[in-house]
Amino acid sequence: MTNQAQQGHSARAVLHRLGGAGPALLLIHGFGADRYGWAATAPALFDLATVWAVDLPAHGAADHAVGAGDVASLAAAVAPHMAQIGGPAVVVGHSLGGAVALNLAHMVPQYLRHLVLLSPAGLGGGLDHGYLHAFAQLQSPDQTRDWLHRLVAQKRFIAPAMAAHVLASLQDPARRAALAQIAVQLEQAPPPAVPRHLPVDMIWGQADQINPPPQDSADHTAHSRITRLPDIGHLPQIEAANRVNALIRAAVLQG
Amino acid sequence: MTTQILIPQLGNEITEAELSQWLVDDGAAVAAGDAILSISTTKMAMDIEAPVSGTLRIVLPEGELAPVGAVVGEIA
Repeated sequence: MTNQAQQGHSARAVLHRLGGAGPALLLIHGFGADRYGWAATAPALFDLATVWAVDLPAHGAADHAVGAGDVASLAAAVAPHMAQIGGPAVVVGHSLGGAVALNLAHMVPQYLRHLVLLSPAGLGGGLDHGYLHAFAQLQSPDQTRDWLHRLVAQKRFIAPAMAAHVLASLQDPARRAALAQIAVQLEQAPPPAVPRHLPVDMIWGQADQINPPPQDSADHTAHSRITRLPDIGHLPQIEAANRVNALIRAAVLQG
Repeated sequence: MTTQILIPQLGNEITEAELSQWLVDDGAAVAAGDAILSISTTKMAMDIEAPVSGTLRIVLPEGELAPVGAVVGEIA
């Protein structure tokens, strides 16, 4: 499926400086989210790092152009910002943002020094693609609330007002079409390659229903390490904020 | 000594949060690191943990909207 309106327009991500001072840290959100999803993450790092976040194409403050809509197009939209944030940076990516971060590490390796991947798309036990496709179809607040509840192990992490925020972000049909295109491309994508030229930390909620943790991989290799968090769903940065923030801090402090 | 529980900094674009749920009763004993309060904005929700061990006194009830930096409880 392609969207005629998006053809010929390359994808653009919007860079935001969230605050803090120190080495560069870039946060890349997941599918359907935006920079606001890092509110439990960014301020906890302001004493240690200059914290930046992107809104990926068709998310947050970005416009609807997604190019081909595949992960490589999204990463290519982030790549031009890497020189501005300084670095090499620690890059944190959640879900789709994790796959974007992996692509970025291959695309502009000189600008990245450490990856922290939260439930990275393509590397788990099987992403629920039906769930992603359903996002672009959400219509009612109840439906949206139920969709959001599947993200977490404990429903208190989904406030009623969040459903309205999500629905408002879907008001423009062009945005729905762009998100649908990203979901289709993600379903067809091969698993991203884990780079060997920089350290890679993966963090996974054991109760993740959307992108469950891998079953059969070694948790530690020379280049990558998996931390599995019991009773945590698809949003470890919210559900286990302190644990995740501690792992990001360790990555920033690692030389 | 009393330690105040504050609405934490939530980034440069979020200035207030709703106290969605106290997870511990007023007057109950809490341990440092316990999740004691859920707060939310239109864009996200998070738990606040007890910074120290002691007895919780709730200053602002559930449902209230409070600006970043506001004192919502105390642990003595």
